[in-house]
Amino acid sequence: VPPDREPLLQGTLDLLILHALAAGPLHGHAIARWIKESSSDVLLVQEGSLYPALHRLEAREDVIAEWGPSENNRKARHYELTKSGRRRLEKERASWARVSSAIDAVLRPSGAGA
Amino acid sequence: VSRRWWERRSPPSDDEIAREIRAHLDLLEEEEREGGADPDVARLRARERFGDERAIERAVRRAWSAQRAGWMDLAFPSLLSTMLIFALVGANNLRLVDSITSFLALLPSTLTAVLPTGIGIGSALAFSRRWRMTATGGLRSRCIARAFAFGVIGTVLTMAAYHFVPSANARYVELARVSTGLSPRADPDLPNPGVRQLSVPELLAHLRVVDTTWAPPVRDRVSRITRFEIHKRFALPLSCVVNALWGLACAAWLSRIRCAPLFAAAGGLGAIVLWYFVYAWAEAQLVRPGISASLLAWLPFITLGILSSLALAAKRRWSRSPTLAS
Repeated sequence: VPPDREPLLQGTLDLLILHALAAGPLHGHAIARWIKESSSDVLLVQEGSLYPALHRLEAREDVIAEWGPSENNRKARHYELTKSGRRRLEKERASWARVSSAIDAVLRPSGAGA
Repeated sequence: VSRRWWERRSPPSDDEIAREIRAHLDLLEEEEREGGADPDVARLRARERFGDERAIERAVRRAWSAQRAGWMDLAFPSLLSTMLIFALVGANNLRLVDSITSFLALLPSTLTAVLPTGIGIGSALAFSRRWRMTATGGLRSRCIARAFAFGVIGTVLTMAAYHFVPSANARYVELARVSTGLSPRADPDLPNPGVRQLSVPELLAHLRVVDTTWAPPVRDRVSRITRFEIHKRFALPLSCVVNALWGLACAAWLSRIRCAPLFAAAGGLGAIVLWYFVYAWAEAQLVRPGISASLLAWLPFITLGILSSLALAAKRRWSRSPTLAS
């Protein structure tokens, strides 16, 4: 891992993918680019590792996929959120907010360990 | 119907997965070339950024097979067909059944599937003739009591098979996989002589570990699967009781038509199909947080229990009604 980059925490990839797709359909490469750019190049995702997660979400019917042209007119498989995917995104967002605020609370300097 | 349902959820072909990965690699290569790399370097860098293609293809296929495992167990190839083979060849031909791949690994779940089926069809057959002959309320109450006894005996046998036969099936192996240390890992597609199903106390211990130390969202998913599994160990055997009641309801409603035992047996089999559909639906809901996993495990029992009770109550009221009875 390059020193200025962080690997993703386990279990957060699904949340990032669902969030990326909330704005509209994207193909795998565009999702990887979105994660990289939105995290200002901090989060490191090996692009291939997106696919098992994307297909798991598709198998759960949280996303649907369709072949279509990419921005440079090549064919790519585009993923789009379904209703159940939007519901899952809300749940995962709420769960993440709870976990991250709990960790913040633990790490706050006024805590017992400080 | 279950086959059609399965097809609707079918995964992309190997060819389609390979095409998708190829398309991604082409986009990466093009990006590298636009950045000034020569074609060979661009290809190498694209592969480096993407990762091991073959491993990713395998991981994609695993992602689909993990999702469909519940349906595969229930819908076509394994449990239902094993049940039907049992019904067709009978207990004398156990050697033939034994030759089915992984049959021994499926023994507890096969027994727990066969017994409620047998109880449902058996009670429908046993009572379809008797119900017609027993016009009085007292004798009919005895029929109901006997059907209930059928169910209780079936429950005890199924509970013993499910809890004490030392064996394993794909689902338990899957559970063993997520609960490192509780049971050896194994390939769910092969017979696994060294793998056993987790007992209820082990599952409870595993659940405590998951709930207290694992992080969401994996924690939530594994916790729901484990909870479902624990409740299923009791809900499935107890389905013998509702199957017996359903068989009795079929016998009661169909006793006056020609070939009553045949139709009553078909009704008993219909209950099993309904049971499996509700079960398959409930298991599919496990990946969607919302309905409690414990309730989902009991849903087939509750559904069939309510339907059987309503059918019996309606028959009782219908028989008592002076206008209809005359």
